[in-house]
Amino acid sequence: MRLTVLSPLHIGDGSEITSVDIYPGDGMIFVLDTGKLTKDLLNLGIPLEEILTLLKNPPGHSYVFKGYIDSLNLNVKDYTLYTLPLIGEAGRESMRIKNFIKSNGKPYIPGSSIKGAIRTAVFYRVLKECGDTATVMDVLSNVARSANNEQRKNEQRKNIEKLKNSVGWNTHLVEYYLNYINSRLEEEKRFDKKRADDLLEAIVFGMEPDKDRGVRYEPKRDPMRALVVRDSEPIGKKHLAVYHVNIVGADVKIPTWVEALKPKTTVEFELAVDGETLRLNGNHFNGLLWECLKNYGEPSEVFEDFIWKAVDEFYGEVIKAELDEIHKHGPHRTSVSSFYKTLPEGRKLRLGWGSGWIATTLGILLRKEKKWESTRRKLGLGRKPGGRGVSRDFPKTRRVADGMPMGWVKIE
Amino acid sequence: MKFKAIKLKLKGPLTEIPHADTLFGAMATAVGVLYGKEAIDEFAERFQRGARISSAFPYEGEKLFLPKPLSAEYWLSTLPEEKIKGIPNFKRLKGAKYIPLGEFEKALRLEQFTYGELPFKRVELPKVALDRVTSSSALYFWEEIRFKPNTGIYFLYQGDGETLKGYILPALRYLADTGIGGKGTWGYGLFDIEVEDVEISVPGGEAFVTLSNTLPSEAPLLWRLFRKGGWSPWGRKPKLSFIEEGSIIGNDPGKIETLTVGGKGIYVYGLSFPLPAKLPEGLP
Repeated sequence: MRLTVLSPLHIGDGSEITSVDIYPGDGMIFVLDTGKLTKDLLNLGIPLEEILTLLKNPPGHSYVFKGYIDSLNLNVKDYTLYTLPLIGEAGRESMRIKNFIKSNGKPYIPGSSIKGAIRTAVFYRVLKECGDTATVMDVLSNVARSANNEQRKNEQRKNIEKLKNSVGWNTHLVEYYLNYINSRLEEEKRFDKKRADDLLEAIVFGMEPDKDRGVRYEPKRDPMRALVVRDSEPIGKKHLAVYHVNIVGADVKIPTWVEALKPKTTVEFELAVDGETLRLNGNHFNGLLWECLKNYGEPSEVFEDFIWKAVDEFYGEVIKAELDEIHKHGPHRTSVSSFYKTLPEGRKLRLGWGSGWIATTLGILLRKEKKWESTRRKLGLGRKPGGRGVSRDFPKTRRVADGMPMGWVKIE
Repeated sequence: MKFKAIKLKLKGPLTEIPHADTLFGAMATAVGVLYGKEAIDEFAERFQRGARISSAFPYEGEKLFLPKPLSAEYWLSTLPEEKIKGIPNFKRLKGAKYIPLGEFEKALRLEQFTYGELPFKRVELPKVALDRVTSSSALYFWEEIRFKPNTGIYFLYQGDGETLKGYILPALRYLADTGIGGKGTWGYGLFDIEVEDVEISVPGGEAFVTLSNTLPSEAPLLWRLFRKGGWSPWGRKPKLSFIEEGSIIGNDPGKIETLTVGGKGIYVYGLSFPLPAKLPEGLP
């Protein structure tokens, strides 16, 4: 398949280039060969201790090597590993640039990022269409039945029955889930908020009995196993640029720069649905997704169609939600609005850093529930920096690069 | 001794270099997909009757690597101090897991041998998991094995041509597109196939080095144990105790274990792939 970048796309590897590694030029970032530069500085008589002291405690976090290059009239190009165009402003005193993920020095798009974006859409569609508690209780009953009669499993079966009954007190799985998170947050001070979706993921995608929560996620029982998405081919560095990202709506200005793929970059990747995996494991899959597929026919045959419809529906909703709240893009609302209104036809996804809470979560469904507001406050979503309360409006901030919302791609 | 070397020219990384039981399990599943479930029994039967596969090992161009025999490792540990001083990089040699074919032949005879630079390395890749409620990200690292260009893995086959042409090669052609050895959904383990003839010169002797991970049916002579489970289409497999490739055994054919998982019978390959080896002094 072919992926075309529609707006700046940043997929990070967790590392950053800092002020000591770069020389900010005019519309250009020079990434320095600091080893070679240090060697030449020593030959020019600069004491090593001075360089080390500056590197350890840069005055005002400034560009240490820029100071030397400028004052000694050195040619920056002699010490450059590679250059990247800079879109937006450079940091006046310093800047940290989030690195794009690379393999053998060349950027690529990980298959796991593309698959993750598709998975979120499937999660959304399953909950929307099959999340009524009657269907969920059926699914849990099947799991309880399959936990056979061995002595050891009796306890587990009881736990699933308990989970099933508590789901039954609600009208929808999402409603139950918000109650569940609320009670967990009240009961346990150390509830891991980073793994708040664990139980929901297990029920939707596939599960095994578990002694604590009734069920736990089991990847081998997940039909999404059959969706094979491979890493993209390496992409030329000429498609990469440093973007100054504006975080709109934040009380404090957080200067942020990222390496991102430029719009119009195209790259090939492989995506396949493994029909044999679906057919061979038909009896093994036990989540709500598999149950939901049965509404459309033979699950292994309708799977592919289901996931693509989910993608179209979910990302269509994301665009709608962003346009509904276009005022949150502040000074960029005109450019962002025209970006969304002129998006090309075809299948679109939102990937990577800066995609925002709405595109990476089940937020569109969660926000419709009455209990959401209190739950998100307890989860600390929208907490102001410095612990100054929780924002009334969530999600409050948007990340905009070169006047565009980040992370939109088209696949065909 | 003559064998067929089946080279898997890798197109991407691997999660692990597959053992013989993984190769057999993957091929048996592929045979089931291609010819129906009954063909799996026939496939296993052919191995019970004498066909053998080794575990997979790395290769680079024409250079094949094999596991260092434990007999040679034992022999190295008994060498006197002055001899050890004459062997360059003795520590690295002692720690080497794989050695080139020519050196392997020397090691079988307990003659001085050396190691070679391996054509792969283990790398850590960053990955991100996102929570679908809070959007919190969790960075984690994934270890994979990356191979140099023109390298890959191979395994040895000994047996009749009918099993090779009728079962193993068709199964491998299927696996070439779906991947072998885990994380197929990330595109790991895809390959092209090439078959070559290989001759390994072996000494005479009563002891054997096994080139597959083996479920021994009698006590081995020198061995390293490891426990390995896995997953079948019907559920998780219980862990079994195998002896590692390079272990020294008597005349033990090993066995194919039949297990019941999720109410269905599955085969676990544990046959040995024996090559005669000289035993160091001090061993029975």
